[in-house]
Amino acid sequence: MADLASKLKSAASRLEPGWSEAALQGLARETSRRLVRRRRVTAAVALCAGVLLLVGVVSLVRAPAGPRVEVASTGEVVVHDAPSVRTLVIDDAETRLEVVAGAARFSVEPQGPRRVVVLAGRVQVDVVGTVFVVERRAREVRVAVDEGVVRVSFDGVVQRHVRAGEVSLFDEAALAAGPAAERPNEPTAAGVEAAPRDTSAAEREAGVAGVVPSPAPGSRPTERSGASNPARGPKAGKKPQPPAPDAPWRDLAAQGAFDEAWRALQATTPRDEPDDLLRAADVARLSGHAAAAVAPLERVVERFPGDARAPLAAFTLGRLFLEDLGAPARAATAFERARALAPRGPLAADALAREVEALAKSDSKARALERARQYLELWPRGPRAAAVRQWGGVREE
Amino acid sequence: MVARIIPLRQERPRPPGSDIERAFQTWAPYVAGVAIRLMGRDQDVEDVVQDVFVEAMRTLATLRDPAREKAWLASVAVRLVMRRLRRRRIARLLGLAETWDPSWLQAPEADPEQRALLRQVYRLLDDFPANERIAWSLRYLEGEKLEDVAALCGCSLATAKRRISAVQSVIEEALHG
Repeated sequence: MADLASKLKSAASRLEPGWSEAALQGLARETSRRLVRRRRVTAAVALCAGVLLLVGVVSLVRAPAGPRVEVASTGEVVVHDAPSVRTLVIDDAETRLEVVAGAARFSVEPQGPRRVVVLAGRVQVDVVGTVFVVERRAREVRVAVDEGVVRVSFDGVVQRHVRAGEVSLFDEAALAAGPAAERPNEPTAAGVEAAPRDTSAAEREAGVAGVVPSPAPGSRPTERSGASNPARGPKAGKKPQPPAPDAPWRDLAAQGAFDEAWRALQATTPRDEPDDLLRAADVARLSGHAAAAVAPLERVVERFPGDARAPLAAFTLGRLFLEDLGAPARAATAFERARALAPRGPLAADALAREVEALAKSDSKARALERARQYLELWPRGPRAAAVRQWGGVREE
Repeated sequence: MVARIIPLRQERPRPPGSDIERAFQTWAPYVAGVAIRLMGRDQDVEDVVQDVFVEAMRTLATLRDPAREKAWLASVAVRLVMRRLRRRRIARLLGLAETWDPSWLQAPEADPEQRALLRQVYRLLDDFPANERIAWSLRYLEGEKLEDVAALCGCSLATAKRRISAVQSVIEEALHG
């Protein structure tokens, strides 16, 4: 055994590379080159990783979260998970939207001559082309601008321009129903200054809390009440007064108290005109009574087909059937009706896209494919093209 | 009287990479020898040596005791050879690599009897898992102590003994039987 070990060690000791000095120098040079290459690759990988990390962080910070509304340059409005945003007017001259409760991020492409207005209580935001968030809170209205500039008005009087990175807060006086929301179908071409309210300047200013810098896009704003002056309405620490039990359902709805508005609505009947019927439908929908919203919406579509809001009513009906009532076949019919009422309207593309989705969900695959092809022919680069392709089963060419 | 301060020794600043170059000149032949003995082939030895020093780049500069350079480079070499042997064994099992061939080991310094012994041993070693083969080679071809074998293989002393013994019994039987 020891003999074998000794023989093995002796034989193994003969195994040497036998390199000449020149061969060793050549190998040293090659190793140095590899070291340099490795350092460069390591640096490049670290740089790429850093860039990717930065891009990831930036996209996370800037990622639109929660309810959002996109207004394309064509005037088309696409609402993503924002049931509390309602469309008051949508035509060639104006797109008027209202935040009934909660918050929504608006992304508005430049519109040319068309006005885009967002209402939240008595606060009105005039948009040119920008990204911003409008939030109706319990005791204030908050407007935060991510990109561009918006013009914020209170009761029709321009208060200030809010620029990227700024937040404008309005205290609870702003939550009351305002004239702008009450007259949704009467846009004025002259702008918000042309719609003053019959109040003194001090009263008009009463709801303004001021402009504060935004901490960072996507981050939570600093809670702030601007009611430092007693003349400017209730203080921030004061508990908001519950709505009076006999308050009209419209006022309650305007304050975002949809459950109370729903109860008040049971004792009365909405007026037989589009605005009141749409408001009643919103109250039913947002108080969790989706089925009760069907009748007023159908009434608008059937009784007032010539009204500018009829396509919107049909479209809302389609969303209701599709998203809340699980009736995709009826949803498809409603979306089709929305298109028929305004074939060239701003809702037409979205209605056709949702119709494809509804048909697919109601197992009408052949019709879904047909409608999907129609959409892609009309709007090949439309914002819902990818979804339409998927729902309609259209294969990529 | 004005005192003049004369520095006793002025060290030249060492250029970057000088540690690795010095270590290469000193230890590359030793690392190559270890690699040849563990692998049983002349091919790929230059690659292994380069790999060892590229991997050593960062750590070598931080080694405070130059006496540890040799042992540390040997441990890197063992690890890299182990990896190569494992890959070769898997490739062999998949039919993607050849079995050990005598032409892979020239051993010009060995006499004919030693060359025959080495060729017989490496043919037998080719059938063993990499970790057993490395442990046995370190013990009987490199002449390392059992404790050093365990340290270089990153295993316990008992495991090192078991691995060596698994190979040794087959080698003994083949050579004596």
